[in-house]
Amino acid sequence: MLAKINSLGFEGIDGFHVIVEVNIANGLPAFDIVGLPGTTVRESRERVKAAIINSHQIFPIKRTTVNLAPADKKKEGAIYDLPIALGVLCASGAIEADLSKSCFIGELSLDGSVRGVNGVIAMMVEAVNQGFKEIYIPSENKKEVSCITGIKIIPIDSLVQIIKILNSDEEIQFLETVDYKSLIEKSQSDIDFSHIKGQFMAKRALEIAAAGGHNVLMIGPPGSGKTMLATALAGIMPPLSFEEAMEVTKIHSIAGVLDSEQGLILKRPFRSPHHTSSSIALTGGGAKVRPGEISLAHNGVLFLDEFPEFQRQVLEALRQPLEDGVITVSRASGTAVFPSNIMLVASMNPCPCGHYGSSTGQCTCNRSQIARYLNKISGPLLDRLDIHVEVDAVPFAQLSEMDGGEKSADISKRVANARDIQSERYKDEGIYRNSQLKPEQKNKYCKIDAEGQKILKDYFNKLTLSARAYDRVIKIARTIADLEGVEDIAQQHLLEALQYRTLDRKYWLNG
Amino acid sequence: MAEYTAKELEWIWLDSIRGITPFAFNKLINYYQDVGIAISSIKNDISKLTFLNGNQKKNLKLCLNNEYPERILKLLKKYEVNAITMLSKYYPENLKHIYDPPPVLYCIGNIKLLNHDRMLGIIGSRTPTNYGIETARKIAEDLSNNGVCVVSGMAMGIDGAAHEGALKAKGPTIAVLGSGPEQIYPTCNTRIYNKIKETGLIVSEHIPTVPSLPHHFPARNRIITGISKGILVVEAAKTSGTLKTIDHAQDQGRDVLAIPGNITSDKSYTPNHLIQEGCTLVMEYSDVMQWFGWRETKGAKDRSIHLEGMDIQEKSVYNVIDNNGSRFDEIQFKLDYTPVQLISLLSRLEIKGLIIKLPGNRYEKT
Repeated sequence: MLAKINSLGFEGIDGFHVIVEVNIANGLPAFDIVGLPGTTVRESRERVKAAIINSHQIFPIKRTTVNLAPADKKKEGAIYDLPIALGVLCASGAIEADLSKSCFIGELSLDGSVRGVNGVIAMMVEAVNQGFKEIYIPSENKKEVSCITGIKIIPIDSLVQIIKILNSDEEIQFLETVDYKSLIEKSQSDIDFSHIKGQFMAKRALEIAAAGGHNVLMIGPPGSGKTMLATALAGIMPPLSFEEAMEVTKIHSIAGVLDSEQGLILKRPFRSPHHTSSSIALTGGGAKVRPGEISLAHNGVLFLDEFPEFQRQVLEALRQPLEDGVITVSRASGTAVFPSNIMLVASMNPCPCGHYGSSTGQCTCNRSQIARYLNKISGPLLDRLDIHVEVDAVPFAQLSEMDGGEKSADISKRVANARDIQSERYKDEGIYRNSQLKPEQKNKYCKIDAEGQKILKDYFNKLTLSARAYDRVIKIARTIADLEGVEDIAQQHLLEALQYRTLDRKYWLNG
Repeated sequence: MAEYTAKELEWIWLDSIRGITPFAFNKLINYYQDVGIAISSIKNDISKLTFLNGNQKKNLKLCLNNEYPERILKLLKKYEVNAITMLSKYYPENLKHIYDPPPVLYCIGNIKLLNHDRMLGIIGSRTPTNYGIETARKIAEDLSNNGVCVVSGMAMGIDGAAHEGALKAKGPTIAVLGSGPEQIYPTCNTRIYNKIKETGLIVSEHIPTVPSLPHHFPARNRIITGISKGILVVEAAKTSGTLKTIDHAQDQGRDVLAIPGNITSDKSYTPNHLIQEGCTLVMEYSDVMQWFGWRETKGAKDRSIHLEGMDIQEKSVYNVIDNNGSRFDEIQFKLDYTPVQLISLLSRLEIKGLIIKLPGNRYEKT
């Protein structure tokens, strides 16, 4: 007898349709899986056999052949345990049902219970596209897909349960879909901006960065609150839209870092890899191509603490994905394109000892040490960090008297407004943020009147800022104007923007 | 380009030969009483000159032919170098009286500066603290404003800062190098070198193409002290190259002045120790002026003139910043402006040149 079961797989962040064909024929007893199975898939023979027997069913003592079509695509993961087991049971006549409009994914335990798998969202989206009516998934994965509509979802706990359902011995319990809006309203950021006392300049800089998609470099002594500020940053960005949330969850699901309790990711991701991370860890790769930190931070914040301590090649590898918003990872096993639309927040100490210019400690470094430390960041990389802001520890005496300022939610509204203005303005340009402006677009959208030009000229002459600062200042001024909701870049916008280019100043690099 | 007399040419000829140190040069003069005679007769009685070593003899044999001076002159011309021999009117009188004066100085720039009447060497650590850099720069600027010519070695650290300060005041400054005058070492001071070439003077006792070798630096320090009236020590650790320079200064009878520093800082040990032993303590430029009896021509940089051009808001911010500089949060704390307003006001003040932003989000009055 022959049985065909629909299942799914994924490559990169996209799902694809897999048909699991099971043929049971007379002959010497054997159980083979063909169709380019990976090691985990090949091992599923043992799990399937044990699970069927432990679910009080008979495993046919015949020649059993399983084919995973399309046969030329590599299949990885334990996704196919459940479909193979069902195929065997269908072919041997234990299940009699029309399964042509259903599809199945899930890993089996030896005792017949169904365990969660990675990448469910990506596969589910493909199932909707393929026009399936229902999908059976492990219960463990139900939370992450609870917002998906267009397909009936049946969470499954064990092989026994699914056999009963398919043989109509038990009533089907469809998963109730949850409204995305109600979910997002309940979610809250961990650290609110109003919890951080003082640091007004840094907070303002982060607001501008969030609005214009600018990457930020924070410079400050240890313990000054750089990490706290970066963590709070995700809270002032507008909440994830449904599409964004799906994309983020998809990537996390594929990487296997999704918390089954959490379900759909509602908060903007905040990733903070350690400075010993390899470039593969950041960009993605591996034998089975896996997304890296830069993709896991997609639509959120990638925080690189101790920026100069990262290996040079690791930082240089970030340049292209920062520019393009996607990263293409090619390996022998295949090529994957992962989105990497992130806001990069880097932090560093001002010098090796950390106290140069600080109010809390005495710097013990000499000038050449400081210069060497700062030189670890290459010019092209510094070019991609639009905003530089210094963070200094707030003295204890002032800590108790200072207020925290605005709440994240209020700032977030302004940021969302500024983002809307930009999306509207750039709808025909193929970009959506000020940080992405190319030179000719900059001339078109960032007109500066004679008075503004004079301010820039005076400032650059007086403080010998480098040429690369010029473009950045104008882009930042554009965002500041957008935050205010005005069309023309005025004087005060430029004046403010000028304060966010610390590292271009002479005193930093040439002592 | 200067024309050289036949006598001067002979001096340059003999001095430029590799291995002929000022010491050997003087021995030869003492032996022959005249450079011209020396050049013509060395080849014949080279075996008699027992005070020369093998290397020196070899080089003398090689270079005492009529083509050699042509080559040297070409070299000098190529790099626009002026060779000032001890016979020249430009050769600083002070320098002639030190223990082993260089017979010839190879200079690029304004050679008239060699006879400047207010020369002060500013010396110190190559790895100073921020305090040292800022003090050296400021005092050099103020001294320069009052007609003092700052002499230093264009090394990293205090030397560079002293030159920078002088250049900022558009005053004269002399850099004494430990290599040929056309070579820039350390390369991070290229900007300073180029500026000094234009407005100041580069001095070296080596002909062009001589590389900077470690033993050249202690030797060039004797020139720094030799041409100066005195030296000002800014920052130096207990065992610093600066100590050698101080020794030279004391041997040559030059005054040593020092700027005190934090007693807990290694780099302040030498200046503090000097003061303890009786050196003059310098807190500002006028202390130096008084010590040498120099009349002030301009006074310190006038910092009040800009106050006119400020509006009320700018003035309120300016007044809140205290003399040691204030941090952004402190200014914000004392005033009622929103961060956004305050940030642009600070930019305005920066454009007007009234304040500067320092590391650590600190704003300081200029």
